[in-house]
Amino acid sequence: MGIQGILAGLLVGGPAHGYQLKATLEEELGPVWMTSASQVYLTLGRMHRDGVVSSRRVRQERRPDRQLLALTASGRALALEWLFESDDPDESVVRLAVARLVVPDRFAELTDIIVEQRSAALTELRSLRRDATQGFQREAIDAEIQRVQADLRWTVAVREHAGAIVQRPRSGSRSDSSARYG
Amino acid sequence: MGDDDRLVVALAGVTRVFQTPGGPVTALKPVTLTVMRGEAVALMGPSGSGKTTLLNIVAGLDRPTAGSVTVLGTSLATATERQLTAFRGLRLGIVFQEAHLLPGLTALQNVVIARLPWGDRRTLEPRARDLLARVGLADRGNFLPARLSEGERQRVGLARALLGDPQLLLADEPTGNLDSATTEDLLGLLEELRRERTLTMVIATHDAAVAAAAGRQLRLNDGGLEATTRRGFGGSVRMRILD
Repeated sequence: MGIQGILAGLLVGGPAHGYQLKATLEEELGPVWMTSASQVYLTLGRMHRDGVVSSRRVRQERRPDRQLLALTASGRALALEWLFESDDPDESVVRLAVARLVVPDRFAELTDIIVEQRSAALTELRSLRRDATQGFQREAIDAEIQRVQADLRWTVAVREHAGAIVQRPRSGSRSDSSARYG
Repeated sequence: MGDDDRLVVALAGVTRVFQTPGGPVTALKPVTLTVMRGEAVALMGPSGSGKTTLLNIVAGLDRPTAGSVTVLGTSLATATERQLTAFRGLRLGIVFQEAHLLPGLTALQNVVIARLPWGDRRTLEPRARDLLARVGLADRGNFLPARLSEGERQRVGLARALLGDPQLLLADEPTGNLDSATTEDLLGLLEELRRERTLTMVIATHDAAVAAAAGRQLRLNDGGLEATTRRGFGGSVRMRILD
């Protein structure tokens, strides 16, 4: 689901401007996660067109108006599905980062879900490995197994510290005291 | 076959409290657990969570402070030391993080020696050779442990554990010293053996990647068991598309 799931996920915490969403991602996940402004605004435009978010114009003195975005009912369903049911291993980090902010009470549950997803993937790879005898197949599967193992061990380590992680203040919270998400 | 026949491990309200100079230390809070024949169960948890204590109690290597322990129909909490020794020797296979092979004996002799109190060398040796072949070491029987790799030594330990044809195999961090590919080989071998022999396995590990090889995972935390079950997700495996 990519960036759309991430933006919808962030909006579970309450209405926000596009700029705030991008800033939050950068503050929480930077510098290894890059978010391009054009990608964020293009995606938010599509989400508005598709009825995932609604927008409300907010007037600002001496500055251009801003669009305050909020999830529609279908957008909220999509966001929760992305958080708790999607299974793209490349998105585990960002799903957990978003969950920490918007559903901290379900953060540990999400780590459990990801552990189960990665465990199931490992089981599948091990089953493939049993029959992989030709050419470079076994080495190719071993490479994938090692990646999944690394994901799994990382998620378990995060789960063990889930309590402290959700207590940690959000990044940039001191510099922007205006309520963003609920 | 009724449920009772299929019940391999049954723990009810098992606790273990160690008396230390600083006062009593609870290593296991009341644990209730059943394992059925042919199941592979992983006991997970960080160091000090109680998994080795629990495994030792199932193996009859330690006794609970309270609760009942029935393994393969034998009540271990009330058995004498002599009965426990025979129980371990005849009915269980145990694999540790290190194989603890005797350095002066060959791989074959190491497989045989633990069973000598209950068997005859002439009948044990052919079976030991078959088992060494089964774990992929047909040509290593005459090697001393020093000539074997870590993974090979662990497989000798596995052959030794299987010599009595046990119904229950207990493993404590069996892959702790192995590299990733060798770990996968050993886990694959354990799974094949489990299927071939309807072997029941309980594997204690701190490593979620090893635990994932078991059909059921149980997590111990501070001596207490947190039930975890598979939700039945299809695992998503990254397929790399070659255009």
